[in-house]
Amino acid sequence: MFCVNLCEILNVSLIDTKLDTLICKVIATQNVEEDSVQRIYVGSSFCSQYFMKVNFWNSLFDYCYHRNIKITLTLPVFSEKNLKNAKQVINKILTTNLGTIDEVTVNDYGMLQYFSTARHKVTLNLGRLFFKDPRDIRVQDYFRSKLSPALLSYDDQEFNDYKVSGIELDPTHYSIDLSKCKLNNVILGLHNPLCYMSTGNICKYASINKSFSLKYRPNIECQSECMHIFEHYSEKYSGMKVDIIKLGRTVYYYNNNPQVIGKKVNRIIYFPLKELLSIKKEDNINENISAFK
Amino acid sequence: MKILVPLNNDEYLEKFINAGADELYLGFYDEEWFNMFGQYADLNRMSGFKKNANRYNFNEAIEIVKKIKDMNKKAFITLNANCYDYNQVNYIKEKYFPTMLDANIDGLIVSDIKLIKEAKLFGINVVASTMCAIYNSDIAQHYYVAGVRRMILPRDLTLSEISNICKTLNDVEYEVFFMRNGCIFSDSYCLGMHLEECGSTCGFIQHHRKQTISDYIKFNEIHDMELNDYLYNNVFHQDACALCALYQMKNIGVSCLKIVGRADVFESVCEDIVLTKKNIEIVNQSSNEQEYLKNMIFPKDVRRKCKLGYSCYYPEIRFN
Repeated sequence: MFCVNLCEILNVSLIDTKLDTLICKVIATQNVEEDSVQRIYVGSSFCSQYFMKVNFWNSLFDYCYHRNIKITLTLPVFSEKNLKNAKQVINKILTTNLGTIDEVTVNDYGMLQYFSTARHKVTLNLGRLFFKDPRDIRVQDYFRSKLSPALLSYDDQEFNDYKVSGIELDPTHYSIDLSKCKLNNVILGLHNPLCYMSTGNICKYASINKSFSLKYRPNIECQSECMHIFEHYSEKYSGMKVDIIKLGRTVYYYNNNPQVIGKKVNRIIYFPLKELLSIKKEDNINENISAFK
Repeated sequence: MKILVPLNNDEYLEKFINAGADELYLGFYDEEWFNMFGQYADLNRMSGFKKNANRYNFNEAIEIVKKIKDMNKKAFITLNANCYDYNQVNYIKEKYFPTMLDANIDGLIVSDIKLIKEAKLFGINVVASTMCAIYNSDIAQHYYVAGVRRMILPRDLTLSEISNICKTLNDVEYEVFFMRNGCIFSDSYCLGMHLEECGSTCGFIQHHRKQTISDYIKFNEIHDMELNDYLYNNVFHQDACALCALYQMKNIGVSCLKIVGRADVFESVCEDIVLTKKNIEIVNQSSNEQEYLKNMIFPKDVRRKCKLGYSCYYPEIRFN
């Protein structure tokens, strides 16, 4: 199954005017069938401020309901100050979604515990933050080795206890070896084409409009500055060019087509950054701002 | 409040203790581990720094633990790599746990929930590493249920968040970052490698050329974005310090102040221990926060360090 990951990047104006265009572009660039996008991932894996500021839920539910698209609601790790409100927001989303949300992806043990005992009729995925194997495209020897994710080397009893139905892996290495993976009954999702490498609670972009002495505080409220900027680093390591992206709080690298050995990938979770940028270019994005370094 | 200090050279043990260290932590290296699991398999979070951060092998580390305990101080060992697989956990259980138990270590600093559970079963006290990402009270509860009674909280939480977590589980010892190194990312979710050949991810992001793609077009917008970038790369978190937060930490119930820097210069770490100890004495003599903030001793490079809160773990104390 081909899914589109709109986490971190979806906003009201995109839904109102350009989401169809974006999905059409994805279908074209990824060479998938026209009606193949039946699921989107929405919310955030990395940023609780983004999640708490989302104000497009009703438009999104309406959009998906009329196109028969299912939603996987993705939840970031909430910092203590947001936790209580976040649960209220999540509960509201899950009771007003017109049946479009049938899955929730959690990214921490607290939320995993919460959902395994909550009464919502959704299935549960372990998000990408559960998988903490080192990854780094700059270290070519390591990148080119086979990774067997550590968490999947254990039996699946704990996953069963929490009623986990799916997992989301990042394309960490040139090849990912799941031949010794003991999970048999979970849906295996693979993010593509970006692998998350690092993230945190301190958002540089959220500080742009803060006064000097209030900059770089953890998890500060923002004006969604990350919707206006992203950074591209391109360097050679061991003779190979690597592309690293900073989007919001998170650093990613490109790894388009990792080999997956030993298990069938049930879902590609495609992040349409390239397609989004092509839409933004049409809106005259200012692309050549030089950095200080 | 206790002062926890990294030990990477046992020649400094006595000096650290004389300076005021109450508890010490150390990592170790193990050639057999790397032979078995590969050169990139971290044994602890600082394995990438090789012997700069982990000078001793396991047996030597255990001897140092015994020495620390003979001096009536607490000793902790770190096994806080991002994660461990099934075979690695078994290796740790078989190769290290029995000796650790015999040496009566005060705690094993662990990142991985599977290893935490195994250590508890073995009868070893565990400390949830900052790698456990205890960002809220629900996550703290999860580790509590697993048997953890000492937790290191992430350095990117606010004091009020720390206070809330401490109130939720009040029979837990909480440890917080106190001096030396800040980080622009989360310890627990920074999965890039820290190796000589590539440097850290944060170093890469802060010091390499990049193309910034933005739809800001007005001069002021671009100016603010670029200035913000400059400060982030060149000024923010060049150091880190929580001295001003000490009074609140005492009231919150923080048990332990962590001075980091396993690979740092000894004299500098020692100065931070002395400074922290003196300020704990001042806190204990202060009847309110204002009195403490007036009387506290600042770091010696206060003119550079104490500007705009950029070297503060908890800038909310002075800059609101």
